[in-house]
This record gives sequence, structure tokens and C-alpha cells, in this order.
Amino acid sequence: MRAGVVVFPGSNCDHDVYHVIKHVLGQEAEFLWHDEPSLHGCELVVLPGGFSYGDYVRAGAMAGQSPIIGAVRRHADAGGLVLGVCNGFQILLEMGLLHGAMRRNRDLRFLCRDVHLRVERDDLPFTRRYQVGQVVRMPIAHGEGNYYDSEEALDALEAAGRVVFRYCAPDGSVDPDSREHNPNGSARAIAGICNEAGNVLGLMPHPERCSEDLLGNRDGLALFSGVLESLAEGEARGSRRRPAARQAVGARA
Amino acid sequence: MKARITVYPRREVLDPQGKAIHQALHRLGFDEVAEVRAGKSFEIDLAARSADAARKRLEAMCEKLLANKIMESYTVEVGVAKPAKPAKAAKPKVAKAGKATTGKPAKAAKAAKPRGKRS
Repeated sequence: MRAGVVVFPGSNCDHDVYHVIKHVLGQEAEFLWHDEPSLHGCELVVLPGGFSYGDYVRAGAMAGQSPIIGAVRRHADAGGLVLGVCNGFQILLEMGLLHGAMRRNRDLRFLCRDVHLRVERDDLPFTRRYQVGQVVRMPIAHGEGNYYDSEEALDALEAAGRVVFRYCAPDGSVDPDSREHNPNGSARAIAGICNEAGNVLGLMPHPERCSEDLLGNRDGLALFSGVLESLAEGEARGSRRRPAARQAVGARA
Repeated sequence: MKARITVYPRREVLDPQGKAIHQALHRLGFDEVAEVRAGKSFEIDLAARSADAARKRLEAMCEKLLANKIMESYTVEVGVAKPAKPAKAAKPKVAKAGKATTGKPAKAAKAAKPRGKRS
């Protein structure tokens, strides 16, 4: 697997992602500076966490207009894999590759803690090594992760099965009103969503910060190893295009 | 040409910042405050042939970068003489200004609450 980690001024989780791909998984990884016009043939593009452009205007708004963004968009349109973590998720929303917006956290506090997540899709390259209904633990660290969209758009998102992760209690139950188990107040406790084809994933929690036993938690590693597995399979089949696009799981009513 | 762009969270979107400021004002004894919306404004100096042409360009700027239409709305004022002069601040030119202080508290917060739909 060849992965590119985009570095914006103010990115601060770029090295963590690079480390997981390069040293934990033993794959090729490189940094892509935000004003480069090309992705150097990378199969997976990661928009990492941080505070790109100091969160000026809105978190992710300035980065969403960076020179490299055109190449990221073309990569996504062609079925290439794009992962946005935290600020990277905010950038994907600002680019319009994913739908919705981020408000300040419900209690206006920057939240830095572990959360439990319920996996809602296991047919994506990113989630194929998880199971639907599985509860995983990952850290969050953000001030603006309170996912918002109109009720109609949320209904459409759910009907298309595009909610990939939800904040939940350790037993997997979801309560959007719970301050403990939906800490930032996200609509319908949404923590991560994908695009229609399933090749673009954005999530607020940080899988790259929990991918090694040394860190006390490796629940996040399956996300990266799932991508690796998926790309390897695609290569074996001779087609790397559209690795995801399986039918969505039944609409959650 | 001088212009001012004001961006606010949409009415139906919960504005936690405005809510916190609202509560703080009450704590300070400003009990008459019915609602606070926290937004931001941009003063822009641009070259344009006419006010209409400037407005078109400014609206495009809002659509592309300055506002996120999913959760924010914006107003564009063109030809604001001296945008930052505090003495003039008492008489804002925006048509809708003042509305928020006279009306009843809006139902914005209620509409924005997630409904918790799940299986």
C-alpha cells in the first residue's frame, strides 16, 4: 500500500498516521505538502487531524481551498480511498466530499478523552475488519465535532446507510442526548460518515492514536489494516477502482 | 469599495456560543436579553465597477469560503463608509437589525435538537 498524508500548515496528527502506516503496518507512506498539485500515485490519501490554518473562518474551511484539494477530489471521484480524521473530517465536509457541518461542541469545551463507538458498516475498505454492532474505543480531541445537518439530510444519510460510526455507551446503546455517551452533542450521535460509493470516510475519533499495544489500545489498527487488505485484494483482482461500493446495509428506521 | 459581510448561525441551528453569552449576560443582570446569536463579520476592501458588481462578487465569496450554508446565513453590505467607527455603531444599516431584541425568543434551539432516531 502506498499512502499519502497531506500536511497543511497547522496539521498535528500527520506524523501519527505516517507512523502507523510506515512502522506499524510496514507500508509505504509519504507526506504531501498542501500546495503540491499531485498525490504522487498514492492509493490512500489521509487528511490528518490538527488545526489547519489555525481554524480561521471555520475549522477546515481554508484547507478545503488548498492547491492539493483538486487532486484529492479527482482521486475520490475516481474511486480512490480518502480518509479524513478529526480536522480531516472537517475538511472533507468543507470540500463537499461529505455532507454536513461541524458546530462547536455542545458544552463549548474542547474534549480530549476516550469514547466508545458502535460500528454501523463493515463492508467498507475502512471497516471490513470490524463487525456491525461491534463497540470499539478510540480517543477524541476536538472543539468542533458537533455534527449537524438538516433533518431531511440526516434522514437521507441514514436511509443510504452512510453513518459508519456512532458514539455509544460501552454496551453499544446509543443516546444522542447523553452527555457521557455523545459528548459533543452530534446529531443522532454521528461520529463518522462515508460518501455514497464508500471510498471516502470522515470520522472525528483518532484511530491512529490507538493502533499499538504500547499505547494501551489497538482498536484503531483494524481501520488501517482493512484498507491495506482491501487494496491488496484489489491489486490481485487487477482492479483498484471502486473498491467499496457494495450495497448499503438496510436503512436504519 | 468598502463592504461588510456578516455571518450568523442559521436560526434553526443551535448556537452554543450565543447561548453561553446569553446566560452570562443574565448573570450580569441584563435580564431583558431575550436572545443572543454569535456570528462574525468581515470588512472587505475591493475594486468593483459598481455596487451591484461588488455585491455579486461578495456573495460568491460567501458561497465559496466565508459562510457555510449548511449552518450559516450571511448578509452583504456594500459601500459601508467607515466600517469600524464605533460612534456609528448605534445606527446599523442592516434592515433586519433590531429585530432580535424586540421579538420573542425564537424556537431555534428546539428545532436543532437531534431527535435520536435509531433502530
